[in-house]
Amino acid sequence: MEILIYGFGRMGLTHYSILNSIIPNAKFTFIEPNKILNLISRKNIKGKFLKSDEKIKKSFDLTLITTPPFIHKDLASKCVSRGDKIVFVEKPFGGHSNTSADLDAKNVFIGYVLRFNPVVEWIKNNIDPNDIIECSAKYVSNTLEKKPKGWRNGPYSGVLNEIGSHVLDMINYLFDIEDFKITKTELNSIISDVDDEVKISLLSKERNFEFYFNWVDKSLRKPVFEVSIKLKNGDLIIFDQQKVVVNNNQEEKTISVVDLNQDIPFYLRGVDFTKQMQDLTHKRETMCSLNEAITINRLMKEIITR
Amino acid sequence: MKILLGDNQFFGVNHYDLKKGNLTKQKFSDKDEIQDFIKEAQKIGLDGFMINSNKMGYEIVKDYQLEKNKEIHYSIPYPHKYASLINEEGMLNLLKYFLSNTSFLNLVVSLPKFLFTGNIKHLISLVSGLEVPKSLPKGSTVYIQNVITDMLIGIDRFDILEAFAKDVRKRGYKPGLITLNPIKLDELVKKSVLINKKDLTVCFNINHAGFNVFPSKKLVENFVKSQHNYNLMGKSIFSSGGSNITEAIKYIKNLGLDYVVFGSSRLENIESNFNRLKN
Repeated sequence: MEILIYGFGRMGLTHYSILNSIIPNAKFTFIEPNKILNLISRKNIKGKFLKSDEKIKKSFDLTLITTPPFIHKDLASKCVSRGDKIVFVEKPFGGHSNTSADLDAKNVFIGYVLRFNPVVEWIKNNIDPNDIIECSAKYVSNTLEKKPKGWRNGPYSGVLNEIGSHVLDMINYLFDIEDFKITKTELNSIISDVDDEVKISLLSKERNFEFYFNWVDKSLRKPVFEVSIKLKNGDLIIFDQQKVVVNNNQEEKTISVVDLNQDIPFYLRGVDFTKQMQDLTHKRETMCSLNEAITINRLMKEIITR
Repeated sequence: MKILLGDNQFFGVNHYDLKKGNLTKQKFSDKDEIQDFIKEAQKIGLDGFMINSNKMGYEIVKDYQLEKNKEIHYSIPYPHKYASLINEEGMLNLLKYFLSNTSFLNLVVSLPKFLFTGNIKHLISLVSGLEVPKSLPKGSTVYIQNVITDMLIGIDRFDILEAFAKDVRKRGYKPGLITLNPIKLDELVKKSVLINKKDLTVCFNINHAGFNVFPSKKLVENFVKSQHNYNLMGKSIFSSGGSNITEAIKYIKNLGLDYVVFGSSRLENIESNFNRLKN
């Protein structure tokens, strides 16, 4: 398999490490325009390193775009025109300002990794979106300790683009909120010059959704992620990345990742990351489509510009 | 089988219940509290403790008076610190951090090799120099954290782990590798004359529930039963609190590991589990 990776930052390295471990005899080409990073990488990584894709004429079996978001869209178009068979773009596809669906390609997928969490899979298979009346989701972490530099301190970053988009996509994947109507938003800058804390209320198909994202909570070492859902029959369901608790007023039942199948051939940074790469290179049933990613961008744009 | 106190309770880590982990962290707000807790746990009869090189862990180890016949198992680096550096200023910021925080003398020793070859394995000595306090008792085991070990396995750079083992031994310590891919690591270790020695310890998840045991519980059990030249340490033995304790202990005792590491924020739990693991 011939694989091309644009950008060799943290995500490029993670995906490369996983793909190199699960696909025998894969051949890698990397595009890294940063001269120093390109030089160090070519001395340390097996594969072909280029500073730009100008000279690439052939198509690839799989292309991963793990660059900053502002060049996602142009690169994805280029890959589709070149005839690359599968194109994976890190989330959020082009950032919140990219809301047009002019790139209509069925072979482009966006890297929303929470979909591959075993608990999220359980919710998808066991909860009917039509049974929900209320949903509240939060993601709190201590990701930023000081003001970031470069694009990470600009409109393509912020907790909503970088972390909130994951949760919004997961909720859309599980419960379909495509016809959202935002009723309330609050955005606060605490460390960076963009949003570090975001509160959102929205309505979709007569269901209430609340979101809270914060990536500058110094009291935490590990991120805390939690979703609670109230069903029409009165059941309360709370889930995070580790377990689901179902409370039906009479008894409480817990299903944890211990009870769910987690077998993967190689582990790095989470079961979800490996499952995402497995799905991308095989069935592509769970991957986020372009249209779904554009829905999330539309939602984020409305939150930010409201 | 030697039994070590783990450090997750001190730093808010609970892989099974993240909220519980963050609540537990609040019980251990300063260095003295943690050092006192470790000392009390050692009195129960534990063989030592394992701790990560985060800011607090470094300070705890720096002036810890180690009791006779006890062991320190110290893991580097603190991944969150480096992830934050990358998040805030990009990948190259890591290199800048290592270079700007290393003494001139250490740079003179390590930097020319790196500049000449571009091979990052020549920087491993800078990382150990920054992360391991000089006062860490000789003979202690120094580990590479699983996110680094596994990433290096994934990118076919086992030679960097060999360089790490060589550097750690030169400093008077024993090498350790933490991994969540113990079978892939074992295949590489067995081929390496340099690293495959009796002083090496490989630490990996193993538990009755199969929680976070990769690639699968069955395969890891077979790996444990096979022949090794090095020490095996089981972690996450109680599935981060998600296991039935009686079943978990019975299972672990039958595996024949060299070490196990577990933590709890309550000394009575540590004593109870220690006694059941020993007897």
